[in-house]
Amino acid sequence: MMESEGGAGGPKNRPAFEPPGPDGESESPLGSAGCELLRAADPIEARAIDSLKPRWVARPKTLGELSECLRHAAEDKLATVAIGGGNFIDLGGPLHRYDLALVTTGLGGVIDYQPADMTVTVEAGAGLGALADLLGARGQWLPIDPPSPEHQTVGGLIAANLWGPCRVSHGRIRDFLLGLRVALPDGTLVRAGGRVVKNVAGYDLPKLYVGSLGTLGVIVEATMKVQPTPELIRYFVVDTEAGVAAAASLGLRLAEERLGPFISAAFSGGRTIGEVECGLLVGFAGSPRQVSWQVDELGKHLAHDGLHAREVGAEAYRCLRDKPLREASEVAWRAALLPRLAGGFAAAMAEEVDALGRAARLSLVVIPDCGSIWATVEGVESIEALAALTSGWREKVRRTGGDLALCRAPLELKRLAGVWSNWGPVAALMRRLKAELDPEGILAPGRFGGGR
Amino acid sequence: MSITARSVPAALVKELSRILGPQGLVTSEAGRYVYECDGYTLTRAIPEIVLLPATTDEVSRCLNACYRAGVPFVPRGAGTGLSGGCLPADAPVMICTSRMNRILSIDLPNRRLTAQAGVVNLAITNAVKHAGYYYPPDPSSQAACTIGGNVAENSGGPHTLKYGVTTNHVLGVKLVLPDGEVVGIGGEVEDTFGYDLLGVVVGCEGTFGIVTEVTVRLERTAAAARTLLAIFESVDHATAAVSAIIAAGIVPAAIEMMDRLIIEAVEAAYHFGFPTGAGAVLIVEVDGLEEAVESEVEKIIALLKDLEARDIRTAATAEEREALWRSRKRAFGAVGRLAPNYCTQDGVVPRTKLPEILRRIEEIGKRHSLRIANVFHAGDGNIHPILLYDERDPDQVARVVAAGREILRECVALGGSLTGEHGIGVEKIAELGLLFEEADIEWMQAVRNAFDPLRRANPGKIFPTPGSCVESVNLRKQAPA
Repeated sequence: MMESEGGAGGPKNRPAFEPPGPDGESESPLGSAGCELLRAADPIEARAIDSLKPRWVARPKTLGELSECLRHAAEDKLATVAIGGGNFIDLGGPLHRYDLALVTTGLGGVIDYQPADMTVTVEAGAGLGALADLLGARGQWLPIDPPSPEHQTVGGLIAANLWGPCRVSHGRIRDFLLGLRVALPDGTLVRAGGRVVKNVAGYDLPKLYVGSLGTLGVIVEATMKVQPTPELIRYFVVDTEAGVAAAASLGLRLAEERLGPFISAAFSGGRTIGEVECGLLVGFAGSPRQVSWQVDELGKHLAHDGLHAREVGAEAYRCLRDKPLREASEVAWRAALLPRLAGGFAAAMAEEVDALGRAARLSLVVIPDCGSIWATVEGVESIEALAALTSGWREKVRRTGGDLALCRAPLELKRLAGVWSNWGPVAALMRRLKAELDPEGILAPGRFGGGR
Repeated sequence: MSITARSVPAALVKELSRILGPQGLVTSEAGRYVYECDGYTLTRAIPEIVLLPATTDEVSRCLNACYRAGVPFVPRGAGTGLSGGCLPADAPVMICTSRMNRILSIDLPNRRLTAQAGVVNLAITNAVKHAGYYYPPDPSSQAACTIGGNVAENSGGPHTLKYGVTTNHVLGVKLVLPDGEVVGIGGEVEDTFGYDLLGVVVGCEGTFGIVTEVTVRLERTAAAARTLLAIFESVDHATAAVSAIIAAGIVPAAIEMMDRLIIEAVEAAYHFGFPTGAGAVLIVEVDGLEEAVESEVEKIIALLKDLEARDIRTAATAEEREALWRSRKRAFGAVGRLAPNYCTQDGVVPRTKLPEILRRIEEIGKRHSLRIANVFHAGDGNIHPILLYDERDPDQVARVVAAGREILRECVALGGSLTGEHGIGVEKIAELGLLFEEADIEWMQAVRNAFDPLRRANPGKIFPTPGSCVESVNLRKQAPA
């Protein structure tokens, strides 16, 4: 459960860093009192990123400690990486330097929850599982469903801009984020937005931190709007043997027919969903009367195409949601295209991978109505081949106005293929922004190509 | 290096007229007078020159010319803003997007539309509604306001309760930076990686440059919609009903409230058939699938009856529904019947605090001997108290300004915000310090530096300038550090 510590008061000690690694590096620059030390059993190796190990690991338990910790780290220009659940910590260009791992899971308190206003404020280290429990007890939820939510933190969800199958009906975390509190690189605590559902006072800085990967500040607290939990959710899987493009185009057709699906996601390759290898998972959410109408309509539309929907349990949904993390794969991509292009592009990706050999296969989740793709690959060992796939796909996607990122990859592949596209003139604007907010270039240096 | 000029040198006028041609410039005093204010009329200033470019390229060349001459500029759309966001007080050059009124592309299969910044909000929906699509944000001024202005202000409207505001529907913009550089931010796809610059450009109130093109995501029109009119004895009863609907886990498309003064003005102007003796009415709209709408309407009617609604009427036809919305959206226009002038505030409170803030507004009105009418987005907690006055009476004007500030203070004290959709502009600069501390404001300024380090784009808006009277009281509850 979530700790409901307000964070007020507490000893005014300097936060401590974990003792140095096995090479017996000199003492931490911050002394050793104050914040919780990570147990020796929790190895520094676990927090290695891009083959780099941090020199220290700190896990502050209060906002004051976190701020102090950053202030001291900034004085010594330590390259600092904020870590929540750590599941997507590899996302981003290779780190140039890595001195301090700043683990936020010690800051997981509930600051404010007003069920009647449908808003919640939590510390960034709060786990999505604990948040779901808190909201669920009052019949509410945050309808953003990244892979393995029980292992994600609110801060990580925002910093990595994660999403899942619910995206088609509910959008992304940026659509739910009302306010944000951030620790700037020098430890200064600032906030923007608020806790009301409509607010245009000052710049909408919370949005800027969505997908910023910890490079502009450390997210320490977030206020989000939440929603009533649907009365009923039912899931159906449609087997489309014709491939992922056919599944995606079925998904788009259902959207056009105003069936109002809560989930409509095409998939293929890797772990099966409801014992189907390639198809469309459709979910309906709402009152029993509405859902049963939707189910009838779905049946009618599918019958027209000679297809059939089989009802599956929530386990199938979870399997699809977690697919991008559960595949035994070291390499993953996220791509964004126009809705009409996503299915065909995903199918072409799968074909190219299939051509690389018997063991090679691509696992795909496509949200057709949003043009979004998660892809993971297995059975392709050659870094050169993976780099060629990445560059080829990126070029094709960019020609259509879309974007593709290599979101999990060994260092060699990141170096060879690049993690991000060349964003053109807007990259200069991003570099200026990074230079303004992190002038010393100490927050996750290197994550964004241009960032120092 | 960066001397900022407060007037337009003759050489610059010559260069601008070479770029735009004679039809692209307004220099006559009579012509410029039109641009002295937007919907916020308490402060006015006449621009030295008004530019009417027709393309992104013209905007770029004009801005570059101004940049080299060290002259700041103020962007303007239709001038329907309500916070003085396009007041040309600290910038002699005004750049108006009214000639940039072409829809550039419509892609229905992918639900995308790209328009020049001067395209009117409603024109977007009108261009696609035949095919069953629409653009959801619907500010009351949607028949006049421009999409570029909507992006600058992050505009809302009644239906944002369910569908979100401008920022939730814009996918890309073309932004001309103050030095004339044109940058494409975002685009037609939903995710581009890197920083969400679009997220801060929307709502920047024109302080980053000028947005010249906007790409939006269109939505499919709902299969069904029902609109209810519920009549209550008092504002207290009506706001309690709002809280009850939200607390019951229902998210209607819109919940709007009008109080007695507004009902009477609207009725006198448009003869919709509102009961003029009522203390308050709520307009509640639900939309979605036919089946979902039916069950929500039933639930809402049951709740409203429990909460002593005097009468509940349902719009029987699409025409009735449209007439109801027309009356609501023209409510501000009808206020002209109540007093020669009015000023509206735009504070927000957590939804459960609506009854509290309305009681406080009533007290403030009494204390300052002012009539205050209320018509607002109740479901969002976004109030629009309309303070009635006569500008010929300086004492009344002073009381209006004071009462407006007190109302905003109360909103902040209840955990809310200064503005839900109108922006800070020049109107609420002095109040920004009620919400944000110095470090928060410095943080915003640092972001602005990346776009406009020399403060050439819409100077004097949002932020207190050095030397000005800054409100430093902080009413926000301090979070534990």
